[in-house]
Amino acid sequence: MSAAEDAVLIAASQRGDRNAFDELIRKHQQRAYQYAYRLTSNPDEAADLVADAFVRVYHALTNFRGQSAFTTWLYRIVTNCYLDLRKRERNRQHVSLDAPIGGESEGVERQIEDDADGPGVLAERSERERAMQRAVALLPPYQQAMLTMFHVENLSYEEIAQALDLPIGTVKSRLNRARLSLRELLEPEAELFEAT
Amino acid sequence: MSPQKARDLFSAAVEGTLDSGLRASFDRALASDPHLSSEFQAFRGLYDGLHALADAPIEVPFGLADRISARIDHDKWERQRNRPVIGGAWLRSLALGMAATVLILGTVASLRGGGKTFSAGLTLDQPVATPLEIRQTNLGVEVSSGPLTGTIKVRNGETGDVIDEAILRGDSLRRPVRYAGERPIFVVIEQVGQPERLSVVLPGSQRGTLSDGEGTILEAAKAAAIYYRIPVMIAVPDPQAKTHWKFAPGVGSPGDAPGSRFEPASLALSQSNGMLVLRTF
Repeated sequence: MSAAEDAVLIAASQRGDRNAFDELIRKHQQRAYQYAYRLTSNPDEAADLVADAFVRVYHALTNFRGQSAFTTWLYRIVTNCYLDLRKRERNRQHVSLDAPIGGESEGVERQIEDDADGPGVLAERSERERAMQRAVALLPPYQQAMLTMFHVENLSYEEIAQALDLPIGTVKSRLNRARLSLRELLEPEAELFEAT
Repeated sequence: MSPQKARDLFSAAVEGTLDSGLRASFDRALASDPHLSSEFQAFRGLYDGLHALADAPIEVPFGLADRISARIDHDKWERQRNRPVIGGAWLRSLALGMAATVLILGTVASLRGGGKTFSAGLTLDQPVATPLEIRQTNLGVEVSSGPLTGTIKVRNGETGDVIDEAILRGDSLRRPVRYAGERPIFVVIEQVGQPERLSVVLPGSQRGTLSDGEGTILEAAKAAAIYYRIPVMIAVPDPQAKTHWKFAPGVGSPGDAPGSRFEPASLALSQSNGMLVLRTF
């Protein structure tokens, strides 16, 4: 997926070419959905989030000047949609503390398929990932987003700083704080995370 | 170096980005504090473990891109609909008066049609007609009701198979009906034992570009659903009656749909609750 291709599609979309915009959706839907799914651990919520994000992209595209990569901009919009979603939930006081824990179980089951490891290793990995996802879900939403971008989506500190419009030093210190919080949350299960 | 300052550097230490002076100071702090040292070891293990979250392949739902496009179309249409009327209060009054007239005409037509099929607009504006309401959501429709006692069934309108069922005991209903198939599907939503029912075609991921055709009203509704990529309510007594249709020229935006032409001319597409309604006037 090249930036040059994106630039052509974006320019055509800005001129009102709907087919070009649909192509842009097709090219980036997978990345956006994967990120949204990892934030929400819920396929329906992830699909809604991505749809919301692309609606925002559609209406804001005329203002996109290409100062960052389209993918970085998309991460920013999906993140904002996610933060808005969580804010709305908090305001409605409908947040269930059980939801992230129960909700992630389906996602975890998808993640333990690895023929290379024996059953013992698989069980430990599964348990570790489960514990990790539970703990990540307990962090504030912006910390979840940052951790996911860095550790799962493999964005660099610079890309995260661009996506969130923050100084790079702030990104680094907030990520360090998020990891420290995560370590505290996982302290009771420390043996799963012993350094090798 | 204080333990807190050392903790601030944990990530940089794992990533190996500390300069040599700071690294030496950090190492001395760990060497002099076994608790801090074990904290750092745990932190390193966690840091490595976080990358394991990326191992899982995540399958993108089938037809997601088309659903996103449909959502954008719907949003565009909503924005157009909510645009303020230009021309002053008298024009707004006229617009409201015309809308009320259409609503009344629609109600009469539906009652004359036997009262067995209700459009979304009618259920919202005439709550005595049926307790069920339906509106478009991002990935399908949502069926809702006020408090009632009974069984609500969602059926495949062509095979009669029950797709979903809800038993209410004085509760309110709020139920999403989502569809991820390729071809459009005709569903009927009913309260068991009651004559009223809602008939709606949900678009699949398939895209339609044919703007005209002939067949049954049900086939016309399916064609409209995939052409405009939006659910289409059927509010006519006999969905098997024959018709010819020609959708309004344009880019397939639902906002253009009311300009579509049908034979017989009493058939028309209108908009309600984010959906299209195929009805007789």
